[in-house]
Formats: sequence, structure tokens, C-alpha cells
Amino acid sequence: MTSPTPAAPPAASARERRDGLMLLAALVLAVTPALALLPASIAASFGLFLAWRLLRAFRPQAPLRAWGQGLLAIVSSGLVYAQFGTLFGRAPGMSLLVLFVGLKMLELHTRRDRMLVAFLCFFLLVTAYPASQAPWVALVSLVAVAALILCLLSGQYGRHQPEVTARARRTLSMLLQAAPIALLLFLIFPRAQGPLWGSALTESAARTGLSASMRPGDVARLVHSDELALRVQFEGRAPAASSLYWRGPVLGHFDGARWTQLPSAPAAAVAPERDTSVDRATLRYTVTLEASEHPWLPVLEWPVRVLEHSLEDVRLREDRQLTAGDPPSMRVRYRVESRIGDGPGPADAPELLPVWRQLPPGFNPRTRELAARWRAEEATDGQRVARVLRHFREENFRYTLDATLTGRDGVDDFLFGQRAGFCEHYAGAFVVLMRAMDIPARVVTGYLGGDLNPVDGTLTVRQADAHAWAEIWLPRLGWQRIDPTAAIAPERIDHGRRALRLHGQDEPDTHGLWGGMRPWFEAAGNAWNGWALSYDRKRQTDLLGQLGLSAGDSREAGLIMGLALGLFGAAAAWTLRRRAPQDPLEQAWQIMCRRLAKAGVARAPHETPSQVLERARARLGTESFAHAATFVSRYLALRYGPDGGTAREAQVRELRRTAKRFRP
Amino acid sequence: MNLPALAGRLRARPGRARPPASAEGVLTQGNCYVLPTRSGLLFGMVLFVMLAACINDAIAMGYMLTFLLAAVGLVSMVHTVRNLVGLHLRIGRLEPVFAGQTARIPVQISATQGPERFALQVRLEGHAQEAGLDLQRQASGRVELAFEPDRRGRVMLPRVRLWTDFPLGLWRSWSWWRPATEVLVYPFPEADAPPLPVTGRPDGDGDLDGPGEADLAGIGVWRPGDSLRRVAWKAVARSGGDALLSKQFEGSDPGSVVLDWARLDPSLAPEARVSRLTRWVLDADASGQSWSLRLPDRQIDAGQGASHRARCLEALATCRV
Repeated sequence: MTSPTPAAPPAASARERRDGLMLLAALVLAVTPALALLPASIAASFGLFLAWRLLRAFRPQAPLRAWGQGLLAIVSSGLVYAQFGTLFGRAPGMSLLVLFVGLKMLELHTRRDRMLVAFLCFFLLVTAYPASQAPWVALVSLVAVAALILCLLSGQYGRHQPEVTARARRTLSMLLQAAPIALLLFLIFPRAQGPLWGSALTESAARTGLSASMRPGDVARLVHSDELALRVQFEGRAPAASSLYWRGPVLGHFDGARWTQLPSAPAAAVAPERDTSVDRATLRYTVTLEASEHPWLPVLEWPVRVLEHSLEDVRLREDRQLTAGDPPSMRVRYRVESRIGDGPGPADAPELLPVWRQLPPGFNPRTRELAARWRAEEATDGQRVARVLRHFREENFRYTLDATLTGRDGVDDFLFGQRAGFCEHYAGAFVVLMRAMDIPARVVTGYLGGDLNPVDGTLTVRQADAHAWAEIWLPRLGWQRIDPTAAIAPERIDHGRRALRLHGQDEPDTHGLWGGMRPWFEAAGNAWNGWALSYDRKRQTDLLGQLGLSAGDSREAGLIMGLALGLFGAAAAWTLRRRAPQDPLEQAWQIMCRRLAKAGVARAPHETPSQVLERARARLGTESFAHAATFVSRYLALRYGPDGGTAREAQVRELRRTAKRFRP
Repeated sequence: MNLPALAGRLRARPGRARPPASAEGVLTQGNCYVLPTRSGLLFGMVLFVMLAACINDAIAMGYMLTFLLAAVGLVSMVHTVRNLVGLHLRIGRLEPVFAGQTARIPVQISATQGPERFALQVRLEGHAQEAGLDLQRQASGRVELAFEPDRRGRVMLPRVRLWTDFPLGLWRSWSWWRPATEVLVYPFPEADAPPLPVTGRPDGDGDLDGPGEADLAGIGVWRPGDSLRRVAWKAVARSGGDALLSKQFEGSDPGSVVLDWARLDPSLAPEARVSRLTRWVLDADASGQSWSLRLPDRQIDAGQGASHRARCLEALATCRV
């Protein structure tokens, strides 16, 4: 097969190759965040295209024929179809785009082709954001944007292309000039509340987390997940980690194997209360909750009131659980006031209590028997509770991840057989015992503790902090939290920072260089999340409200935009203004000309200084004329005479003064 | 839709005075226009799609990126205009050309102030050839553009268009300048003209002597203005080469040709006459004779040499027929 001779012009090829490689590098940088989300086959194909392009940069071959391009396009589409089963949707679309950009790189002819590749890279950057907006992604994006703009710039030069440092400087200066405008647009541009079309994040909403039901093993599964659940900023001193129980779903129904939520009576929506009085026993804090597919909003017990929230619809249920109307599809913030510490809990009316005593008949007979015996032996409910906890502590109960419960009577197996389990086993068993003793009780799942960042005081709670505990109702004391995990002797805890934390044995790892730096990195990440990424409609309204404007008023928003544009136009006009000549000698001459013009002797462009002087002879008085003549002779000497050396500057300054003193 | 053309038509609507021609073109904010290029429009579309995606997913970082890119686009507009503003344009020395030839118009561009200029493009209105130019700070450069005049005479140069896409290729800024310079275009010499008319020196029998067959009267000192073909080289060699000697012919000037408009073939159209006379002037000059020119509006006495030729050609170029 004969191949046509390559027709690369030798003179321009070195520069073209350099520019091509730079575009390639920028492309790789821009596509990396997107590639990380796509399957390996897509990434591999893209890598193949790039490798081929790289090869062609160093060994020029014949350009790809049209049918070759078409064939590769079809093959790419086929690959995407094979991988995803469809060509539509977010991930297939991204894959197609990535592959076509790689394909385009093989066939760059005109400048516009290169610019198109750069524009597609910008778009690819945005498609990667829903998955992660971590600070490192932001950094990579910024560098990629700078590199792409550098490529766009490099392609615009004519015969003479400056060094890459000069080009980089120009790119940076453009970015810096653009930054204030971008910031202004970011702050002012109105935010929509919900998605414009479809439902946002349908594919990536598969988040792990607490569910509305609990089986033994559910919470244990979350132990290894480092995924973020929520972040909290306290107003005031943060309580000890061992007392930070974040109440999530309250589970009251037991069917023998699983705990589920009770259907609750419709509760009234909670309106934010702006109450400035502060109770000493209460604590105020702001929670930033990550997007999830469940509607509950974890709060510290016991929530008293909701001060602010950015959701449509927030309800406080009878069981003091805070829920939203819809699951939060994006990160949300809410500010709550809770009453913490020991003391009476919420007191429910007696007619509400029977549901919390429900047990399925026929399950766990030995547990019931034990409970009945203890109920007879102990007099008060408090003593009965203490008896159960003592049993957990003194008997050989272990706290461990690997516990398998078999059989229909799981609680029996746990209490009498295995005697080993994770928090959900203990909580479940405890509540069953309580209910068997006729004490209203319920299982509460949520999170325990969290990592307090010493730098900025933010508490970070992850899915690994998920926990299950119990609440019981005692007369006169109302609902009280009991955590059976705390009853286990610390030496029997095989796993679980949470459990260790309860015994005060868990210390954060701040040793070593990384340990010391880590809080700072996390604090930076928190700030990034808290300010940049959480700038939603509510924040915008607040900010503009502080400036005395209302965001909802479109007229005012239009006014701000108009003002911003006006400022921009003024700045542009200022940089484009016609400046006075920079040569000081020339400036002196200009001053003189202006003065002469005022006296009626306007200089025509073709006139020399001597000619102007001649014309001025008729118009000026003798003194003024002598002054002008002196000026002209000195000016000509300085301009056309030999270089005066070091004295020249002083002479020019003197000349300028002469011009200024000239008053015809 | 060709936006720049539309803008041009809007600007040229009747009732609006055309900007006058000037000896030196100065580019200011007022006479530089700017519009997005096709790539710029594509960029805008991509940004729009990005913004729609951000609004849909409410991604704060997406907003940041989109707004940063939009701001860079706006800033590059200012840079593009700044690449042009402050330039001074001038036409250099022009040589006369013949009709049908291509004149080389030197355009001098100087930047007395402002930043370095890159990727400037210059073109004449109505012509396709473009020249590119880069300028250092406070430097000047020169490009040559081809101009094909369509008629003879003093032809005003067409407008000069200076444009640039420079920093990112998203915007195009351009400006027009009408130079107040003319190029002198000589008429097109006729291709197959009859030979020069025979010299008229009537003698008794009415015969006319042919050109070149004059009687040698002697050798004299060569004076500047005499044709070099008259130099008597052998005599110069013999005399030692100190001074040039030329042959003198008797009579008034037997080689003098009279090129008369009125004596041309009556069937010739006026422009054809001009064309033929031009060819004859060139032939006369080439053969070393002296000639005189008689036109309806002017008469040039006999002479020879380069300046005489130039005067005659100019007269032919500008004569009204």
C-alpha cells in the first residue's frame, strides 16, 4: 500500500509540534477528573488515541483519511454502547465526548480545530464536577484552564512567537484581570432552587448511609466508609465527643428481624424562629448535611427549635426527629438549637406510649423469659435498666464486627449464644428486653461523635461514625437515651472507634508531619465547602440583604449588572485612552504648542518649530516672542543637537518649566 | 449573517459623512470596531451550555469555572482592541506604475505608545492580499501591499484595513483608514503599435529623411541631457577618456520625433490614442531620440532623457480626452 508523502512544511513544523504537544498536555490535565469517573475501557481507548497522536508528532505520517475517521467514530460509539448499554445519559455522553475529543486531536488542520478542542475541554471540566468538588479538583481545573488559555494564545501569534514564559505571563495577567469580574458574576448571578429539567444527580445519588430500617449488620457495613455525612459548626464550646449523639431515624417497629420506622402522624412544618434569647443549657449549631436519598436531618438531642434552614419544608416529628419534606438532593444547611446534657427528656402523653411497647408475639422466647424474671426481681424501672446494663458488662459480651446471627430468634442467639455483636445488636437486644419488661423503648440510629478540627473548630462526621442506640421512657424523666455499647467493658472492644470513644480511649492521630498538617488541610477543605460550594440562594439573599439589596427584585439585580458593566466599560476605556507622549522633551513641546494655540498660533501637523515661531512673530508681543524663541532654540538643540549627557535630564526639566511659564 | 458587513452597512448609511482622507491614520478607541469571531460565537455557545448544566445541578464550582471563562472572554476583548489602538499609519514613497501593472504600496505602521503588538493584519479594500506584522514597543514596521489600479491618472488609494484577532481569537478588532495619497498611473502602452512617426523636416522635394539618417556635423562635448547613444566612443578612447564626446548632427535635431495627437489615425478612440502615444514615448526614449508631445490640453517641447519621459508620461496619464 502506497502512502502519500507527508507534506509538513519544515519551517513551521517545530513550532507546530511544540504547540501541539502543549495542547495535548493541557487536554490530559483537563480530561483527568472526567476520566476518573469513567470505566477503564473508555480511559484506555482515550489513552490509545493520545498515544497515536504523540507518535505522529514525532514521526509525521499521512493524514487520516476521511473514512478512517468515520470508522474510528463508529468504533468509539460502539464501545460506549457496549459499556453502558445506551448512548444517552450522563456517563455515556461524557464518554462519547472524551473519545471524540481524542479523535479530533488526531486530525487538527486549522486554528479553529484547535480552538474547538480547547472549548470541548472546558466543557469536559464541568461535567466532572457533580461527582466531586473537592479542593484538589478545583486546583487541577484551574491549572487546566490556564494551560488551555495558553494554548489558545499560542495559536494566535503570527511570524514571531515569544518565549513560553512571556506567553505564560500574559495568560496569568488575563486571568488575574478576569478574576474580579468572575467573582462579581458569581456573587450576583441568581441561583435557581431546583433543577431545570429532569432530576439532578439521579445516577450519582447512590449514597451509602443510614437507611429507614435496621437489620443486624447494617451499621457494621458502614464502618469502613470514610464518606462524609455532615459537618457541624458550634456556637460556643463543642461538647465532648462521647456525648455527641446525632439523632437520625427513630425505629419503633420490630418484626422479629428488622427494626423499621413507625408511620408518624403528620406534623406541622417548622418555621425558622429568630429568637435571640439564649438558654444556658442549650447549644446552637449549624449543620451542613451532604446530599442524601433520605429525608432526615440529624440533630443533637433534644432539638428545641430550628433557627434557620435552606430547605423547602422542615418538620419536627413527635419522636423529636427532624425531617425534610423531600430528600436533600444537594448539600443543605440548617441551624438548630438543642438542649443537651442530663436532665428530663421530652415527655409524651401516656396514650402515645403503647406503640413503643410493641413486640411481635412468638419471637425470642428466652429473652422474654429473662425479661420477665428481671422484672419481677427489680422494683423500679431504673433498677431494671441497671440490671440489664450490668448483665452486659459483667457477662462475657464482646463488641466486634464479625458477628453472624442465624436463626429466627436473633436476640436469643445474641444474648445466650454468641454474646458478640456490633452496636445494632446491642441496641436491638436492649430495646427488646425493655419492651419485654413493659418499658417503652425504641431504637435510634444516627451518628456518634465526629472529628473535631482543632484549627477551625468544625466537627466532621463520616458514615463510619454511624451508630445505633436506644431510648427508653421513664415516668417523671420522659425519654432518656441509653447506649448499651457504653456498658461493655473496654477491654472487650475489638473494633470500633466509637465504642472506644465512649470510654475516652480514642485519640485523634496528630503525630508526625502528616498528622500535624492534616487538620489544616481539613480546615481548608471545610472552608472551601462552607463558603465557596455552599453559596446557594439563601446565602446570596443574605449577602445582598446585608448590602441593602434584595436578590428577588429583578430591577435591582438588573441595576447591579448594569453598574458592573458600566464599571467594566469605564475600565476598558481607561486602558484604551490616548496617552500623552511619554518622552519628556516631547511633552514640553506639546505644552508649548497648546499655549501657542491659545494665543492663536495653532501648529499645523507639517510645520516645524521654526515655522511656527515665524508665524508667531506677528501674533505675540515682543517679550512673549522672545520667550518663545528661547524655548524653540533650546528645544531644537536638545532634540537634534549632540547628546548632552548627564545634564540632559536637568535641561529637559528646565525646558518644561520654560514652557509652563510661557503666558502669551 | 455576516455581522461585520452589516455593521459596515449601518455605518455607511446615507446622510452620514464619510470620514475624510488623511495623510496619517491614527487608530483610536473611536474608530476601532470589535465583534466576536466565529470561534468567539462558538465559545459563547459552549459557555451557555455549561451555564445551563450548572444551573441544573447547582454546582458552585461549575458556576465559578463558567464565570471565569466568560470574564476571560470579556477581558480578551479589551486586549484585542488594545492591540490596535494607538497605531499610526502612513503610506511610504510611491512610484508611478503603468495601468495593468501591480503597484506595490508600502504601508508604514508605527506604535509610539502602548504595548507590544502581535498578529496585525493589513489589507487594501477590494483586494485579497493580506500582510501580517508584529511590532515591538515604540517601534515601526512596514508592509507592502499589491494594488491594481483600474484606470490611468492620479488614482486615490483604496482604504486600508487593519485588523487583528490577537490574544485568544475570540474577538476581531478592525479599523479603516482612507489615505490621502494618490498613485500616478500611466496609461497602458499599446501592444502592437505602428512604428514611430517619421521625423518631419521638409526639404525641397518634399521627401522626409528617415530618422537616424542625419548628416554628421562633428564631435562636441557631451552635455548632461544628451542621449548616451550619441556618445562617440572611438573619439573618447582616442582622446584618453577624460571627457565624453558626443556626435553632433547638423540641422535642428534630425532625430526629433513629433508625437501629435491630431495627426493620429482618425479612427482611433481617444483612449486608444493615449495608449498609442504612450507606446511611442517609450519607443522614442528607448531609441535615444528626442521627441516632443502635442496633446489636446497640453504641449511639451522637444527633449529627451528620463525626466522628459516622466513629464510626458504624466501628461499622458492626466490628459483629459
